[in-house]
Amino acid sequence: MHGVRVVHLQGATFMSLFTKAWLIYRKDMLVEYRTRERLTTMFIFSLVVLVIFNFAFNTGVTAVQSIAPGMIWVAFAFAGMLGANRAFAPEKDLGTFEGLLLAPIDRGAIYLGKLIGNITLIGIIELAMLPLFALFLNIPILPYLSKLLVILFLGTVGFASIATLFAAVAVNTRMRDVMLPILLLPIASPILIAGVEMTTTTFQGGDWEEMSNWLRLLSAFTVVFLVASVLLFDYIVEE
Amino acid sequence: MAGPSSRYRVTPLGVICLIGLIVSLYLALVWAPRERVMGDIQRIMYFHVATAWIAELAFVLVGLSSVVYLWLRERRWDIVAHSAAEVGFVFCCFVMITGPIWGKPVWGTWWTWDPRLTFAMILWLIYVAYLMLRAYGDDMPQMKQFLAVLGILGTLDVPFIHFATMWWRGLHPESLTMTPEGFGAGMEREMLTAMGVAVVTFTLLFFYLMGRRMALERMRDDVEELRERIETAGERVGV
Repeated sequence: MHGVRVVHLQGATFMSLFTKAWLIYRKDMLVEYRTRERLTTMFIFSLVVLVIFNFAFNTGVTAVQSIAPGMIWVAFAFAGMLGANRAFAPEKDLGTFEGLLLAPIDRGAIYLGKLIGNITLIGIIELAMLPLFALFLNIPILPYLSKLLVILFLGTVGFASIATLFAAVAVNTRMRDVMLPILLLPIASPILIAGVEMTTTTFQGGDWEEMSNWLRLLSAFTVVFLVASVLLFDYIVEE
Repeated sequence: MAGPSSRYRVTPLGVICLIGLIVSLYLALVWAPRERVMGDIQRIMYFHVATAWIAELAFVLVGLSSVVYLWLRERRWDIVAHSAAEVGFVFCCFVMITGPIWGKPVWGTWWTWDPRLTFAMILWLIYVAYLMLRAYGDDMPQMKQFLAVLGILGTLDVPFIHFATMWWRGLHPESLTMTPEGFGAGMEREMLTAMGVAVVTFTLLFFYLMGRRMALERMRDDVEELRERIETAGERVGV
């Protein structure tokens, strides 16, 4: 199917693909460490979503607990889109993306590096926001913490895998900030449905058995879209 | 370059579609018996089901032609994907309009988040995203690759959206679901015939419209090519 392209991927050995992805990742994290631009905006944005949702629903304690899973996922999805956009926008604006493409590395490595960066940033935001959600929404998170972390991790990897790909597309369009959610959210809807359902089940005291369907759906989605994205990223960045 | 007259000619397929539509209208509105419980409103189903099938067929067609486009890089496969998306979107709109018209008297509500409705809504949104990306980025050289990638990912997403929406509402037994057995079981032979004719007619109509849409796109390419030739000829004589 991707006859010509696959050769390109095979040219780089398995190890060097990840080594190069790691270098890209380190570069991005170093930039982020020095500016803290993305983390700050993502964190404040999640906080704003939390507060605004409270106004939007204006509900009592019991009702808040039933909408909390939705709030958590919407906050993280929006923050994730913000972060993914900024993974490419500055590179595009400064012209460094061309440099990255000229480097003798596989494009799949660029994608993976950016992806791991996005997962890291969203993960940090999730870890920082969970206690705040617990505090402001009055939901006991500690008893469910291990389950929540697994669910959030799976959902984040799946979401970030397509967010990273679509951010690379959206950054090239005239209305990049508007295009990303329009492209991404309908395609990502199975992740959001699965994430909210599993989080709800967890808060209701359910175990893995009850969410095995969702767990399989989420894992399959992540694998399929991760592989597809690595293969298709080549076509996105091609000049 | 074929003359424009050949592209405006009434084709045999067009005539067959016209006859098919008239026959199909007669079968659905007059010939088929009145449904006992729902009454005449059930007759909209003949067209609703036929167009829903087309909306899904076109969606898969977009994905398949996108794969072929990335593989062969021939403009005509991009035209196929584009035309299938546009015509499929029209049929998808028809589904979204006829569904609530039927749902209001039968279910007592214009809209319910039943799995099929939710599925159709997400499909519709992906169609919109695809056409918006076409509309807002057509000056980019890599845009055709972006669109092919989006078309492929959208089609890959179909099974995930299917299961996600099904399990999402599957947890709520009070939701109004039409099962395939429940739908087909109560149908008279005349009803099945009317349905069959409608499905075949709309399938032909879809391919007819797609053919016209593709011809239009090729004409645009011709115009573009002519314009370029005039410009180069103008430069040569020093205008």
